[in-house]
Amino acid sequence: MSKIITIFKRELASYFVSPVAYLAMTVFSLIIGYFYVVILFHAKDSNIMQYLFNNMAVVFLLLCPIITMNLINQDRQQGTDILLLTAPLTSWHIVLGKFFAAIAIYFIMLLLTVFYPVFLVIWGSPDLGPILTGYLGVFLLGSAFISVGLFSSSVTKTPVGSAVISFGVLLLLWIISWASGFLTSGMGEVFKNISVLDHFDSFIKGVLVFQDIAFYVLFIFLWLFMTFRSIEITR
Amino acid sequence: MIKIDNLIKYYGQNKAIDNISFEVKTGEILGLLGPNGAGKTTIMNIITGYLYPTDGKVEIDGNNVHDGFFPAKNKIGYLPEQPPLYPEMLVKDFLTFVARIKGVAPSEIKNNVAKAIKTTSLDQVKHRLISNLSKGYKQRVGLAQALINDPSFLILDEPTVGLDPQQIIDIRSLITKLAKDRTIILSSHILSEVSTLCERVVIIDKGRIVATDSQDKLTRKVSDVKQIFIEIEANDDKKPIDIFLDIENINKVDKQASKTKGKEAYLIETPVNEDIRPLLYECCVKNNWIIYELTTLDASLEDVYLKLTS
Repeated sequence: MSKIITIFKRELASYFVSPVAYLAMTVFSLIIGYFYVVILFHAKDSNIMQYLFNNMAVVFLLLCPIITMNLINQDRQQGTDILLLTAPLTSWHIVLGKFFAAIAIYFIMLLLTVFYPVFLVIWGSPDLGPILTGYLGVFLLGSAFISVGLFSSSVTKTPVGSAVISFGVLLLLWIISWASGFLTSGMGEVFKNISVLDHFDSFIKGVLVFQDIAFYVLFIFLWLFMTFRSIEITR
Repeated sequence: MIKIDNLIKYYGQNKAIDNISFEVKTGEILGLLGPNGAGKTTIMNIITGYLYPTDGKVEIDGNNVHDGFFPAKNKIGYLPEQPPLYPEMLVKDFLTFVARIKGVAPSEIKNNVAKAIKTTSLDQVKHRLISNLSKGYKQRVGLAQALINDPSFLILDEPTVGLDPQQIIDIRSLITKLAKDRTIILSSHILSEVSTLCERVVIIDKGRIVATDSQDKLTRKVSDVKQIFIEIEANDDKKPIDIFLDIENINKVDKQASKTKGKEAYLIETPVNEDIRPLLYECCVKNNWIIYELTTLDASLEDVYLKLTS
C-alpha cells in the first residue's frame, strides 16, 4: 500500500508542475459555474442539481482525456517505466497509484462545485438525498472515465493519441444506448446495459441501485485490469 | 552471484536473445560487448526484471528475478542507457522517491539519499530541477538512483555514452570506486572502457554469446601470431629485412613508414608463444644498428571484437 501511495503522491505532484491540472480545474469550474447560473435562472422546478450533474458528466467527458493522456505513455517516452518496473513494485502498484492520482484531481474538481448545493441549502430547501447520490454517481462516472483514459494512455505512444482514443471510447460508451431503439430487444438491452449514461440516471434521481453501483465498480476494475495487462504484455 | 540460465527472448517472431547462459561471480566486473542490436540491452533489461524472458531464468544469489516476491530486485541497481529521470522533480526529491519505491526503510531514506548524493558528487545540484542539469549531471543522478538502495549488484548500460571526455573520466573513476564492494555488469561500445574496467568479457552477436573469457585469454584465442615493431638506425647498405628473416621463428617482416627521418621501421610476425626480442637485440648489436623502439603488439580487444562479430 505504501508503494501505491508513493506513486500516487509523485503523480499528483506532477499534475501541479504542469498547467494541465490548473487548466482542467479552471475550465471545469467556469463551465459548471456558467451552467449553474443559467439553470438557476431558467429552471422551473427544484431539480437544479440534477441538471447540473448531467452537465458535469458531459464536461468531464471532454476533460478526462486531457487529465489522463500522459499517465502511462509519458513514463514510456522518458524511460521512467524502467525505473518503476525494475523497482520492487508490481504493475498493479503503478496502475493504482496513477489511477488514484487522476481520481484525486477529479475529486478536487468536484469539491470546487460543492458551494453550489450549499447556496441552495442556504437560500432554499432542496432535497439533500438526490444531491448526495448525484455526487456519488458523478464521482463513479468520472472514475469510470478515468479508468478508460488510463487504459488509453497505456496503449498509445503519444498524449494526443491517448486523448483521441479515450475520447472516442468514452463518447461511444456514452451514446451506445441511443442505438438500442433500432435494435432487436435482446441486442438493444445489451447496448443499454453497457452504456455509462443509463447507469447514471438512478443516481441523479436520488436512488441508489445496487446494479448501477456494481456496474461502475466492475467497469472500473475491467479497464484497470486491461491497463495492467497492457503494461505486462509489453514486457 | 548472478546466474543467467538459457535465456531466450522473442519480440514477436524475432528472436532477440538466443539461449544465453553465463554467471557473474560476487565482486566481479563483467563487460558485455557487442554491436548495436546484438541484444546487450535486452539481456540487461531481463536481468533487472524490466522484461520477462520468453524462456530461461535469471537468479540473483539464488532468487529468481521474475518470481514477483522481489528479494532479487532489492539487490539490484540499474542505470539504463537513457537515465530514467523525472525532469520536473528536484534531484533530492527524485532520489527520495526512488528510495521509497525501492523499499528502503523509512528511517534509512535520509541517510541513503545523502550517501548517494555524496558518492556521485551531486551536492551542488541536489536542490535543482533535473530538467536543468547537464548531460553529465543527469548521468550522475541516474547512477545515484541506481545506488539508492545500496545494491550488491550494479547493472550499467553504456554508462558513458554521450558524455564529454572529462565526464567520461569522472564516471569511469566512480565505477572503479563502486566496484570495490559490488558486482557489476557493464555494457559499452567503447572497447578501451571495457578493457580498462572489466575483468571478464562476454561478447554477444545477433543474440548469441560468441566468446566469454578474460581479455588476455580472448586475445590469445583469436590470434595465432605475435607482432613486434622495431625502429632502427642502420647507416650501412645491408638489407635489414633479409637479415631479420634469417632469425629463427620469424615468419614475416614488413617495412613500415618511419616517423623519423633517417630511421627504418619494421613489423615482424612470430608464432604467438615465441619471444624473439633477445635475438633481435643481438642481431642489431652485431650489425651496429641503433635500436630506437622494440615493442610487442598484442592483439587488442578491438581485434578480438572485430574478428568474432564480423
